[in-house]
Amino acid sequence: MNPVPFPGEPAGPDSPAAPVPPGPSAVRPPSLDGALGAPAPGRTRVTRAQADEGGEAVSAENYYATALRRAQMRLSASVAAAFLTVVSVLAIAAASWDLLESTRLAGLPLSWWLIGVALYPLVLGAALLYQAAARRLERRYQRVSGEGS
Amino acid sequence: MTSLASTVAIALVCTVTILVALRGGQRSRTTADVYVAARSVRPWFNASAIGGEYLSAASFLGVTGLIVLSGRDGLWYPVGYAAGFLMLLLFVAAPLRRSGAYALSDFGLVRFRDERAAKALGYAVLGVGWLYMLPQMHGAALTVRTVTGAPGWVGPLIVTAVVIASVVPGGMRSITLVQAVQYWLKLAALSIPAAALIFGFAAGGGSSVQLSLPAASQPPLVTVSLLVALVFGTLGLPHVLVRFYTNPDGASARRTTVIVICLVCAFYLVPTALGFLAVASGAGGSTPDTTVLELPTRLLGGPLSVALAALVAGGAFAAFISTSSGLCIALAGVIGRRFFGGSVDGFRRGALLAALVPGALALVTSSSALAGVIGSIFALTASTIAPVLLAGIWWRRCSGTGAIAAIVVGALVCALCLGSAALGVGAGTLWGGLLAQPALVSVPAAIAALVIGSYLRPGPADADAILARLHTP
Repeated sequence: MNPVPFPGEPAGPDSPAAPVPPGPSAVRPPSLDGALGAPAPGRTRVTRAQADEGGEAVSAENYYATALRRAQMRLSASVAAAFLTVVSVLAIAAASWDLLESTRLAGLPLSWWLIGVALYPLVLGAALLYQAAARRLERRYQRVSGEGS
Repeated sequence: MTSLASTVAIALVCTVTILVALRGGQRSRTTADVYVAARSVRPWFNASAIGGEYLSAASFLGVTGLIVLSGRDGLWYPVGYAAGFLMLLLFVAAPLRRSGAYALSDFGLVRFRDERAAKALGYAVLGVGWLYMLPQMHGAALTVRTVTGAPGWVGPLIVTAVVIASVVPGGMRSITLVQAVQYWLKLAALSIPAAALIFGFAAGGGSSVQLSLPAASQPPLVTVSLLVALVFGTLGLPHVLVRFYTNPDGASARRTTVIVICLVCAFYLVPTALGFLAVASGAGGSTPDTTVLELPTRLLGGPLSVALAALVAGGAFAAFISTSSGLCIALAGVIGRRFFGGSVDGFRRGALLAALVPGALALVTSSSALAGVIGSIFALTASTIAPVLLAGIWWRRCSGTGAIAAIVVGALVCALCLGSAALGVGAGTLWGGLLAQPALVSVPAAIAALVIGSYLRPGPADADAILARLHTP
């Protein structure tokens, strides 16, 4: 699983590419204040997220949050798709490939061992991989949005 | 002899449960205490508790029973139960915790700003929770009948009483400790007998040359449908989700889930091994679901087998109690928040109601294959709560109207399929198989309803800000 590219990421933490946005903040309901820290004053930028999602005002902070959400979505969806593909292929192979049935280990077919034992390490491996990648994405977000540092 | 030892083991489990609950609940005072244990449960502890409540009658007795009954087809159930936590980790764990909800209906309110959507989620939780508690009660009835010969109403009565005694006074705080203890109790109660039996079996010469394997006849498409139900059903189970609100923050919710996956995968190897052993040795139980309970006495003799059988019976009871009390907490949270004003007192009244209804229902219904019934309930969850949760977390256009549409359509399609399968429509064909295992039909139907509903009536205007709150660390 390659790290998903994060749009707008600067070369380093102190890169001049990181926006230091002045101006009034975007619309944010009072109940959500504090969830993201103080509302960062943001220059309204024309962004991809804005073009995609109906052209409402999107602050820089919101832009990075949307980018983070999309990156996380891509990550989760690709891990899930890979896992479900492996499982579906195994389900079809176990039902139709005779070798898995005729090869016996301790008297039981190979397909039993593959389904009943070998899939669990795969689940755990996918989980660990995802956890590390998701944490990396969140760190990158904190770096570019200047939060939590 | 066996029945006396098993009765003692069950009584011991019940007593220890109540004592641990009383101890854990001593400091439980505030609303945050009883609903979410003040959101201060550490990952390892929380993970043990999630493992403890998730491993239900279907896992403890049903998995081995299904392997004996249908061989390879049965092996998919534990895989699906474990993989469900992978999906929970990928799509739900951290965002749900960050939503700051106390119960699933609160999530509807936070995300959709729609009172009716919150109500619909609340009803979905109630329906799924009560249906899920029923097989636990039936499992208790089955265990008590098998090991002591007592009539069927004794088991549900004991479970209901213990759940009320341990949930009502201390709420989430007391039950967290109970469930964490019970995970390790269940693991020990199953793995010690399994190790002894496998060792004894291997020392006795192993299996005969020609085994008669149970026939696996399920088409692959039905297997995939079952997996969809189990995987996405787990992600919507109210008693699992309710534990995620108790994490301190999003990152620890994720860490908790990874530990849960370790614990659950480790556990499922044991009933799978027992299933392999039961098939290899040809020693099934009188019914598939009682295989685990009867295996010790069938394969071994003497006082050792009595002790092992008692251990298994006690562990099985721990399974019924911890799953039922987890569900009771989740339902009490929803009932207390939605109908009784959200206070500590409302939680207690909700818990009482949540435990008594399935206890009463268990007396007037009868049990069938445990893991199979649970499979249907997973399908129902996967086609009601799961799509709403996933779309609410990831799709900014999703609205309360879409959520209600998904819950109604998913529940109707699922019930229709299961109902027609029960009437024998298309038995033996691929379509009949899909009707009995309807997730592959009902989940897309629910998603379609959700998308149409969301486009007809858009969600709150500040959806971007809400989603940002769910997804930023």
